[in-house]
Amino acid sequence: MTTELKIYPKVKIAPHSILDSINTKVIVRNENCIACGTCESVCINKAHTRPRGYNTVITLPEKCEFCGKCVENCPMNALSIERNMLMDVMGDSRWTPELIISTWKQASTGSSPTSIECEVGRSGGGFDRLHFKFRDRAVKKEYVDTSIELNKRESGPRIRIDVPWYGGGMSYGSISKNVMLARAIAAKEWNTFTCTGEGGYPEELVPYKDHVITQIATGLFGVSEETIKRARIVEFKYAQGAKPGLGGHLLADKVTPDVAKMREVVPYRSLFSPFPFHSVYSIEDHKKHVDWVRAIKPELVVSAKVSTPSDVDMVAIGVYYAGANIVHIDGGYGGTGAAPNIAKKNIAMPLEYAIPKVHRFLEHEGVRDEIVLIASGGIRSVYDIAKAIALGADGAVIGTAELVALGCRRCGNCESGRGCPLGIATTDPELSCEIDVDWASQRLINLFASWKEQLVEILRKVGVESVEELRGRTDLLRYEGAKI
Amino acid sequence: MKPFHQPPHQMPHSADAPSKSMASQFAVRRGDECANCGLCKRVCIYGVHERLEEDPRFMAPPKQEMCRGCLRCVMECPRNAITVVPNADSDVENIILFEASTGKVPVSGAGYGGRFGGYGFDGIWLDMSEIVRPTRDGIHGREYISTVVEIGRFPPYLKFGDGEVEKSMEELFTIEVPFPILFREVSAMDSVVECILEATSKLGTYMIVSEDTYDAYPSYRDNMLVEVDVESGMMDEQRTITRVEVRSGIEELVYKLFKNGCAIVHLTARGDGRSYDGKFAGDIVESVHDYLMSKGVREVASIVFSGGILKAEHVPKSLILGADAVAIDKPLLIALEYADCLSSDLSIDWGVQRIINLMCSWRDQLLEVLGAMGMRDVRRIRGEKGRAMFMRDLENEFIQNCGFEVHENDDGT
Repeated sequence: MTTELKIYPKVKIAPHSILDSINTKVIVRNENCIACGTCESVCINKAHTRPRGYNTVITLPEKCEFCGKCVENCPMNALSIERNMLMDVMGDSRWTPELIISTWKQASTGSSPTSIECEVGRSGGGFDRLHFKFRDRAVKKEYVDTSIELNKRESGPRIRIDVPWYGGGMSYGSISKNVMLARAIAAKEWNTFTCTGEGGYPEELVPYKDHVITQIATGLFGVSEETIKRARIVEFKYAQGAKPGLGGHLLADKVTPDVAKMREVVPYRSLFSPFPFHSVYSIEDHKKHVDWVRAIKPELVVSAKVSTPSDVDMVAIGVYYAGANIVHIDGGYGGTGAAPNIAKKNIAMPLEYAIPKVHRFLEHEGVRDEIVLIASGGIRSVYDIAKAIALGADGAVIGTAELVALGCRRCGNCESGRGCPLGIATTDPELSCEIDVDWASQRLINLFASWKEQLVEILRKVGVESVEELRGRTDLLRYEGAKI
Repeated sequence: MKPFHQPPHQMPHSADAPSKSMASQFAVRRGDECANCGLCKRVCIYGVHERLEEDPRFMAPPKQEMCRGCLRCVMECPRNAITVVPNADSDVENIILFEASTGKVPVSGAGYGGRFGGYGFDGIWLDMSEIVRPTRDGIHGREYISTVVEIGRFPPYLKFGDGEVEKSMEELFTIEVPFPILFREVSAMDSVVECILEATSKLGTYMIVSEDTYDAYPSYRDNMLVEVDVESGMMDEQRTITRVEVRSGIEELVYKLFKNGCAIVHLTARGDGRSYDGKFAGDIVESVHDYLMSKGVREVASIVFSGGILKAEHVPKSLILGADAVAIDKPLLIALEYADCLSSDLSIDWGVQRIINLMCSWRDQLLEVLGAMGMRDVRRIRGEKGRAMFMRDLENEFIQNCGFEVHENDDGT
């Protein structure tokens, strides 16, 4: 274990005037207010101000922490704290409004808000029923190691990332170039990775090539010797959790001339990638794939992204014997730019069931310490990452959480060309401008900083010294209820 | 009996047939606080908010049908004057309306946002094929996947006379349905029934009807199955389907029907998908199927399951539990917007197209999952529980793998 202290990227406030002002509750001022200014004087957060020269008090919701002092002290009973109506319409049972708002706050400030309960969602299963068994007294450790190794085989380069997560494949086409760039910058700053997805490798990402995974998916869009040579890690996408057994979907509206050029296709035609790879009908064929990329660049670390069928354990062992370094299982509740709704819930098992299954099987086969197991598909917060690791994964891959940090509220319109009001999951030249690269990358850096801090806290509270030590420690988890 | 290997059935084409009443998914309201500043017009990318044409000092009422629920106007409104609330009571209804309007497979962005697993069909995940077991090429090649099912009476074995199959075999009642979905009779206006019957004949499927309806619509008799009660003793007549209510312990009854020459058994559950004694009806279908298998008679007749089939995903799941086909009624009424058009006149053409759209969409979704499962023929998944994963099994394996203690009294929700 390394003991040297690393220098992590700096947190800088990355504000957003609208997102910052949204909270789970709202302060309501009714007509009884006489603008006496009592609220201004009692508020320690300066959430109420009476501007000079105005006979009115303004409330700044982004500063309010809902301590209730102003409500208590108001002589006219003009103030009240109420539930934000947005909480009823935003989000869903996996990504609860609390979780979305808390991710926004973390992205703005770099630390997690204490007032919002967001450890679990409300889906009633999986991560939402798992809780850590925290000890009463946290173990005091000067240094808690959160880094993981991405190549555990004897051969090949060592690649160590500072945090046990990296960014999942989101193609140019499914998200805008600015968002890709922001993800790459944040990945570089945090010494982790992001992934190109299957839509090609935009030139703008080249300066960050040491932190960009080249994905080779069934559509083979934009895959060339050059893009493989650039990468330290190459990922074969055999299947995706949100649409297992189906290829990638990019609907016509999103195939703008720019996207089409990158993918070498005709603009404004829907792109449905095939399933499966027609060069891979067996594990032996997968080995051929691995050999093929290693022939282009021998020192590659190879990852295989697979979905979670009932024989996912057999697939994982096959991936190992074919020579890959990482087996990346993508659970059924993962994010997507576009997928048939019927595929999202109904095909392949949820991630939570798959991790221990694969982990135990690889252990049983005696190869667990030579292959890295990465989990993705429905990982929303650092708690989910820690739980996935405790269930048996080495690390996790995130996607949606990064988009939420940039302001996504999961309205689910990502499949259409002018669907994303925030310019995240769109290729529309006008809407894409909504995202400023510096601002967006800082928000991701902040989110990671907050996660890292919380992860260290979790590790301390369960009493382990490094994230590698947490792997497979299901004894540190409590599974709530036995109801099915 | 028709030959088994036939060219793929040609579905009628889907075409736009927009919904009449509930055209908007969200209710967008602008309150009195609105200062007509126009910020919402600037931020909305879907064109919900516009100024009044005749007097641009004011904002026009929101065009709700354009709203897609991004909530941007709600968040950015400086006066908190706008509210957006999802319109329909249930997602199920919205999805059916979309399918009936367009005939397309619902596709959307962002991951699944619902409950983790759950009761009944929600606790079943279909299995998929990973790297091995190729079946098709993306969305292409689905013409090679067959959704045709035969239901009816089959000989337990073939008898050969003078080098030919004995003639009596051919008198058995068998029908071929292009996709494993039949319609149930609905108690509604004549025009609605006619709509469904016309769609039935265009789609080549069958409607399960009472004797009265059979007599009332002679021109559609080719696409009707007459429902009879178990007690009536008519079950071995041609074109009949024997109705059995789903409840625990019906295995023996169904076995007897199978033994006594019944062609099609209609296992019908309550509208919420529960059996008449309150259990998940699918579990009982499963146990009936298993019982018939163990008695060695499963192949001689067919099971049609109905009750609580509201989504496309329920079709393959029902088949996996052991039904040969399913029957639906409520989705048809939702597709025809029956509740909303009681008084209005229902255009037959529009209604027929809506039902064709709905079925085209459901069949396409069936193809999606069959492709993902690595199946080329829908008949292959009947009772094939190995091609699905059940929450009860996964949950047990999970708890065992992780060594969790199970606390019975915790609230799991």
